[in-house]
Amino acid sequence: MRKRLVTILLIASPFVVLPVAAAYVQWGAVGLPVLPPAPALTTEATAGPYGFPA
Amino acid sequence: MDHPRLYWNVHCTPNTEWVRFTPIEVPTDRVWNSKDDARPLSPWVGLPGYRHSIGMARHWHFLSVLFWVGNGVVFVVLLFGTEQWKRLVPTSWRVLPDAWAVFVHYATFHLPPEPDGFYRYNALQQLAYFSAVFVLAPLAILTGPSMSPALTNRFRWFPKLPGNRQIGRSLHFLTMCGFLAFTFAHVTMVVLTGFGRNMNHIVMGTDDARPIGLYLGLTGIAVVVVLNALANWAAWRRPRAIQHAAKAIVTPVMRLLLDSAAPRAEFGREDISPFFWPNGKVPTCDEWKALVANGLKDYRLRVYGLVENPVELSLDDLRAMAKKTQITLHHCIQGWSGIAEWGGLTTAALIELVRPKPDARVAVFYSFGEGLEGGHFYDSHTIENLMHPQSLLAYEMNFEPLNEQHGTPLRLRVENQLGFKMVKWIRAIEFVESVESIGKGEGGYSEDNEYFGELADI
Repeated sequence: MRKRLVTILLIASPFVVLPVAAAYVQWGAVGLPVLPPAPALTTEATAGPYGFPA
Repeated sequence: MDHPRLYWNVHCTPNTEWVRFTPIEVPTDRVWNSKDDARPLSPWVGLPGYRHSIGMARHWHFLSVLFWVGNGVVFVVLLFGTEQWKRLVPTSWRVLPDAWAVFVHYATFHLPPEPDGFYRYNALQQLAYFSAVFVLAPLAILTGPSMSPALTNRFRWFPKLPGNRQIGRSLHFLTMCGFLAFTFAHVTMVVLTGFGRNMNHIVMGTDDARPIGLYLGLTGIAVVVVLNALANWAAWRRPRAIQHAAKAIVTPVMRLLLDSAAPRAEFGREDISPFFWPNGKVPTCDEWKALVANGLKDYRLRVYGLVENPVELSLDDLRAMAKKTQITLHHCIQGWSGIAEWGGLTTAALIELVRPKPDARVAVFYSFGEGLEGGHFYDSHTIENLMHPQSLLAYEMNFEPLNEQHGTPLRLRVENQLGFKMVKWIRAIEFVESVESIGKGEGGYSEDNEYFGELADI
């Protein structure tokens, strides 16, 4: 993996380096984004409990 | 690592790889064959690891693949049969900005308040799980067979596709990297966001803080680690047993899915590879050297065994028989590939000439060349496989007589098989009922000594 290290970084950067860098830029510029609210848990929305032993 | 280079092109010309896991530049002042290029791999990473253990590694790979695919099918059926898919499959594009918002929190080390993952995943979790199940897994399943000579050489349209064997191989590797990245992130988050409770979610299917899920989960992980150690031990101490287990479990599946179809794909002259990796040990015996020194005038191909008409054929005799040429894609078990033109007589024509007796099932091809550990190289094929139109005894490569590296005076082409089955420097052919009495009885030198599988359709 010696000669083509630059190639690997180029391939990896869109998936790893750039998103992390962009996250820091956003945090530094406008703060942490608002998280989507978790919907209230209703009988219809929940999946469980299930499995064993209940 | 038997071929520690990954390419986007099918020709595998040295220095065209996009990544290599070897410090070695292919030397240009001497012959450097693909076995020279193999690199050792730590047994902590590989199963079984070390150098040129690809035969055993493939057995474990294919045995695991059958379990993995079967497990995946059960998972997907249960997923859609119980409406659990609603937890995994995003149903709105809103998931993308929501996942990004969660990612910004994680990436800057501001762990967001978690929805209870037992009832609902956050958007990033949902995307990650969805990608693992519905993107990475299908990609692994699709790119695996794209490296099969029996499959890709079957279809005439395959050469017209923009993809090729090396794209499949590279994507297969990157998919593995994706699974590793997913596993690392997943395990890290399971530990960081409430290990005991999360283990109950995963192992027990309950949402409480009892330690039982943790204990059972860690026990399961320990069992996997011990099994992996045992697999490594068995690979080195009981390799024949592993080979035979794979023969009993994997070979029937391979035979059913891949082996019966005749290869048909052909490439154009413009597709011929500028470089074709040499492989195998060029013969060192005096007999072969004398034949080559004399321009192969004294070469005689002996065809004998369970045949009505045993023959000894000179190169002129072979050339006088109907010649067939084909431009085909070669798949090496090590991973590299290349396209070349081959000219010679079909093995079907030879079979017609010698007329195998009714009890003959297999043809054994003996080489002048030696195997890696000494002794003459050989391999075998069923007569059925040799009747395919693309099965050749080639005396020509790229419109020239075969050179010393690639098998002069005669080599085999069986295009639905991997390269190690295509014996070079052929000395004689014997028709037999079974290979059990030949060599160590596994069907070929590589099968005898390197524990390769007898079928090499993938």
